Amino acid sequence: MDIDCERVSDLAKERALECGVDLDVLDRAIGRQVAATDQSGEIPVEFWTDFGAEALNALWLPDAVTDRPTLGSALARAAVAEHTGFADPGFAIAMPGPGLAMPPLLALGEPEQQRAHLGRFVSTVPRWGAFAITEPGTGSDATALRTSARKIAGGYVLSGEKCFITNGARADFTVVFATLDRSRGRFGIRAFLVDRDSPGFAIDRVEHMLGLRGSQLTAMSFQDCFVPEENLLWSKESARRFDAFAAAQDSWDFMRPLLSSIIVGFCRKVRLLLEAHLSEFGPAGRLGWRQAQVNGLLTEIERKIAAARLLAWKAAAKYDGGQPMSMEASIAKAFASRVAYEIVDAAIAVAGPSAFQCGAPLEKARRDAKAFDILEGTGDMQRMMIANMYRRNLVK
Amino acid sequence: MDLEHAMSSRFSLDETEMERAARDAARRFSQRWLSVGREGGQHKSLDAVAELGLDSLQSAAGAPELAKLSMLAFEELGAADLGHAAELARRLSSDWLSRAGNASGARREDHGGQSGSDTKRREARVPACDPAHGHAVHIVCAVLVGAMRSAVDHAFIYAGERMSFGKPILNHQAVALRLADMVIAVESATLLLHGSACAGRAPTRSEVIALAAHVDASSQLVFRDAVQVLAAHGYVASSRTARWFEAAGPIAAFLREIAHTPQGDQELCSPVPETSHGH
Repeated sequence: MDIDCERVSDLAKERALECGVDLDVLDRAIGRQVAATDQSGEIPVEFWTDFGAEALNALWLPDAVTDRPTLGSALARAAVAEHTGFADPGFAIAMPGPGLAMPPLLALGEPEQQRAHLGRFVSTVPRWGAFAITEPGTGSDATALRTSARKIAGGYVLSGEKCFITNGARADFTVVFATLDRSRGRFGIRAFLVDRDSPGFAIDRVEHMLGLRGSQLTAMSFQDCFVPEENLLWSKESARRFDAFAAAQDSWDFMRPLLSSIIVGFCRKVRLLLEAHLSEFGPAGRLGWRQAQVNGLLTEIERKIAAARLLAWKAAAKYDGGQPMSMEASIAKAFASRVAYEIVDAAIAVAGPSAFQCGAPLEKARRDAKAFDILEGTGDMQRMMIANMYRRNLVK
Repeated sequence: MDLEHAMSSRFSLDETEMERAARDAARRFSQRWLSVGREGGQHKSLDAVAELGLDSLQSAAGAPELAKLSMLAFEELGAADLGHAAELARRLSSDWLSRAGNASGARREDHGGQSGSDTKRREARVPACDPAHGHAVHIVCAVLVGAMRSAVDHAFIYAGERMSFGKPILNHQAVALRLADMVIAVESATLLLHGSACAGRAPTRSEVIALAAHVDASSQLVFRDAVQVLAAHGYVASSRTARWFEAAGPIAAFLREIAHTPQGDQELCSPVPETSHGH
C-alpha cells in the first residue's frame, strides 16, 4: 500500500497544482495558524495573505460554472481532502467554497440559480456556503424538522432555528431546509437559499466546541425571514424526480467520502506523532514495553488506516460512477471515525501523561477525534443505515 | 485521469462478465468438490484444485485481472465450506512456498483420509511463513473473506426472519448495530485483499502484514458475532455459524502469526518506513 499511496499522493498534488493550489504550501500555511484557530475558531487574516483564497474558493466547483480547472472527480477531491486532513482536520472543514450547499443547489436548482450562486465563488476573497438541516430538537431524525416556510406574495417566510451548522457564521449564504406542511412529512420539505443579509435571519452564536473549532458550528434563527421566490430551490426537473429531502441525502453522499478522507489524513498525522515519540524514547519510553509490542501497535494502526482509506476511495469511485453509494459512504465514515479515536487512544497510551501537556498535539488530536463520530450523522446512525441498506440489497 | 486510475484500480465497482463466470465456475466446482469429498475421495479433488489454483496464481502475479478471478474463486470456495477450503489454502500455501524455495515455510503433509473439520489441529502447527510470500497469504485471506461474506448474509437473513417482541430482531437497534459492524468488517477486509492481490505487482512486506492483521481481526469479529446474532441456534455445533466459528479460529491464528512476524530488516521502533507523506 505504501508505494501506491505515495504515487496517489503525488498525483493529487499535481492535480491540485493544476487548479492553482500547492498542497505543500497550503500545509505550511495551515500549520502556522493551527494553534490560533484551535483557540478562537477564526481563520486569522494572515492566513489569507499567506495563501490566496481564489483557487480554494473554486476547487470543488463543477466545471459548468467556472473557467478555472477543477479537481474534476470525487476521487480527486478525496485525495486532496486527505492532504488537508493531514494538515489539520478543523482547517480542512473550514476551507472556503460552497461545501455542503453545493449538492442541493445542483440537484434542486434551475441552471440559472446554479450559475448565479456558484458563480459567487469566483472571487479573490474567501467565500463559504453552508447547509442547514439540523435543529435543536431534531438531529439524526431530520425529516421531523420544524422550521416552517409560509408562502406569501413574491416568496416565502421562514420561521425557526437551526444549530450546529458548519461554517454557518462565515457563510455568504445557507441552504436551509424548512417544511411547508409538517403533516406531509419529508414531502413537505423544501430547500431555500438564504443570503446572510436577509432580513429576519440571525447568527445567534458560534458554539464553543471541544475540538474541530475551525469549523465554527453555528446556531442561527429565522424570524419571519423573507426569502424571495427565486431563492426556492425547486426546479421543474427536480419537482418531477425528487423530494427536497433526497437532495439532502445527495449532500451527505457528496461529503461523507471526503470527510472520511479528511479523517484518514488526520490518522496519518497521529501515527506520525506516535512514531516521533517512539523514535525519541524507544519502547523503553513505556515501562515493560518490548519491540514486539511496538510493532504490534504500529501494525494495528497501519491496517486500520489502509482499510479506512480504501473504504473512502470506493465510496468516492461509486459517486463518480453515478452509482448508489450511500451505504459505502456510511461504512467509510463509520469506520474511519471509530479508527481515528482508537489510534489517538493508542498514541496517548504510549505517550502517557505527557500527551496532556499544554499545547501538546495529541491533546488537541483527542478533542478533534471525538467529533468525527458525531458530525454528519453519528456512528450509531450510520450503522443503522448500513444495516437497513445491506438488508435491502440482500433482498433484491 | 492517472490519479483516478491509481485510486480506483484497487477495486471494481461492477462485477465483469469474466468475474461472474469465475464465481459461477468456482461455485459449481465447490459443489462437485464437496460431494466427492464426502465420498472419501477428497484428497484427490484437492490435488486437482491445487494444480488449477496454483497455475492461475502464478500467471496472475503480473496480471491483475487474473489475480482477481483467482481471489473470487477462492472466496467462493471459502463461502461453500470454510473447513475444506482452508485445507486447500494450506496445501496451496505450502506448495507455493516450497516452489518459492522457502524451506522454513514449506512442509507438505499427508492429508489422506482427513476431513476438513480436522484442519484446526494441524493449522495450529503451521510453520511461520515469511510475509514476503504474499500470494500464500492472499489465498488464505480469500477463503476467509468468502466465508465472512456468507456468514454476514446468513446472519442478516436470520435477523430479518426471526421475530421477537413483535418485530424482526434486525429492527432492534442492538442487533442492527452489531450487523452493521459485521458489514464494515467484511467490506474493509475485501477491499484490502483485492487491493493487495490485484495490484499487478508482488505485495510489499508491510502490506502483507497489514492485510493479515486486518483479515484476522475482521474475521474474528464476523464469526463471533454471527454466532451471537443467532444466539443458541447459532451455538449448536451443527449450525453453519458454529462451524464457521470453529473452522476460522486456526486460520485466523495463522494470519496473526504472519501479522506478528518480526520485521528484522527495519530500524528499532520504526518498522514502517516513514516518508514526508506519512506512510
